[in-house]
Amino acid sequence: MDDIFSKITALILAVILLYIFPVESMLTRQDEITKVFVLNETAKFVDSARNLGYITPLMYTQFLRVLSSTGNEYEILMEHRHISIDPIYIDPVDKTSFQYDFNINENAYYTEEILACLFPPAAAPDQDRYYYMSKGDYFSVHVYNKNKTAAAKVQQMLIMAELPVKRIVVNYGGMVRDEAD
Amino acid sequence: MKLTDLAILFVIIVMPFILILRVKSENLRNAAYKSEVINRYLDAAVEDAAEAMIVRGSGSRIEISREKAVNAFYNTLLINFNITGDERTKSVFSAYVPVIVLIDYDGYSVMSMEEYTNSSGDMEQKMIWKPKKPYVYESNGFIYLFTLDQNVTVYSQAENRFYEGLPEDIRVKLPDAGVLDNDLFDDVRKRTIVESIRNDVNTAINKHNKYAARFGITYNFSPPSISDGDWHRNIEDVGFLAFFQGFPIGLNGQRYNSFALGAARVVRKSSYYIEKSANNLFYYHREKCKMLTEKNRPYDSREECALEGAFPCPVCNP
Repeated sequence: MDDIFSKITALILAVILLYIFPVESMLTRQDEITKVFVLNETAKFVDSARNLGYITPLMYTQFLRVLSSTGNEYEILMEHRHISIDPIYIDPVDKTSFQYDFNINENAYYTEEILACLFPPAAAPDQDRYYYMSKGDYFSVHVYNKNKTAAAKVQQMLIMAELPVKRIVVNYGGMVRDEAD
Repeated sequence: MKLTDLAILFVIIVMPFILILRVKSENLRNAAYKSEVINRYLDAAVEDAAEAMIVRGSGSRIEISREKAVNAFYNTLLINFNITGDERTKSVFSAYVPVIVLIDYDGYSVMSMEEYTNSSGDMEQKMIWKPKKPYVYESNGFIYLFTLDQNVTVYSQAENRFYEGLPEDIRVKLPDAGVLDNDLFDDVRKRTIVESIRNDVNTAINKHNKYAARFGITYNFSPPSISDGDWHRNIEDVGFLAFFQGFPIGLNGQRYNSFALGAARVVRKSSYYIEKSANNLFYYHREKCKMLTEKNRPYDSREECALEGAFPCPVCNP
């Protein structure tokens, strides 16, 4: 009786130590690498958008493709804060009411509006699908994973509890430095 | 005891150590990752600041705006840390930036925390730009005012007058001014610039401890050790230098401590055009806007267009 008990325990430990543990630590390492990779790729995308002053559909699809190569699914949230310089009128229709001054306003555009410009419902020439920004605007991208990573799944199994989904969270942004030609 | 029992005993003894080591190494890795992320943020922020500080003044003159630089620096940093719009967090956050230096062509300005009595008689502490300081060196009755390139202004105390120009040219008129000697000049110039900036940075960071404690930051701010070579390599052009210290990045009490420098570059010109649209309003457009039918007179900035009473075009969104 005693013999069987120790054998079963040894078997369970052997399975955990020989198979699950190495797999788990390998997958965790992979998440670690993915984190750096996603940060680098996001920075590359954001920096090129900031340096060019526009986003092209190709840039965005390439960004998506590179991210999907990590084997995870990501939510990509973009934010463009546009600095708009508007003249001050008491009544815009009445030219004489111009105050000879201007306001500096901030308008924010989000993922939906940016994607609507990049991928319009009707076919359009490539040049029209560019999303333009102005010098001095701020553009930032927030990326996080939507699916549970493999490492999270194995860890859940080991500790028998639910773990949060968000593991790879990257936030990067900055000022738009140049304007498109 | 059987072999299997021994194996189980071994696992039970060794496992806690392995797990503890694992947690520790994971913490270290996370801190390393975090500090890499912050490095990126800081680099982006100083580059943006260096970009934003160059303003085209009246005519084609280029001016340097300290306020625009600092605004851009904080905006980028706050966007990256995801705390835009949260005023309280912002003010606490700014306590992690003990000093900012703007390196100009003929002098530098330092921004650091200062305590003062405001107009309503209350004590207030704020990051404040100190007056611009020239790169000064004094020896043998001559005062040298250096710039980032070869140009120099020499004040002769004996004659009570200034000489301005290249060292070779001034040397003809002032043979006694030894520093203008070719071999010596560059050395002294570089050392003067670096030493004066370094002294002010160190003083500001040491002083910052007093203020940071009030924001609940228990970090002991001390100037980071930057080698002479690094200083000399970094400070060569007009730029923006910021220090970011004491930000917690790990569970074992690791703190971020670094600095970044962004060099300014020349602004490119872009033009805008004003046109009357079908609804009888005036709009200003980008050069490539498809709504634009004829280009009459280019404007240099959006501000100029707005002062003519024109609205931003809804299509090209300048």
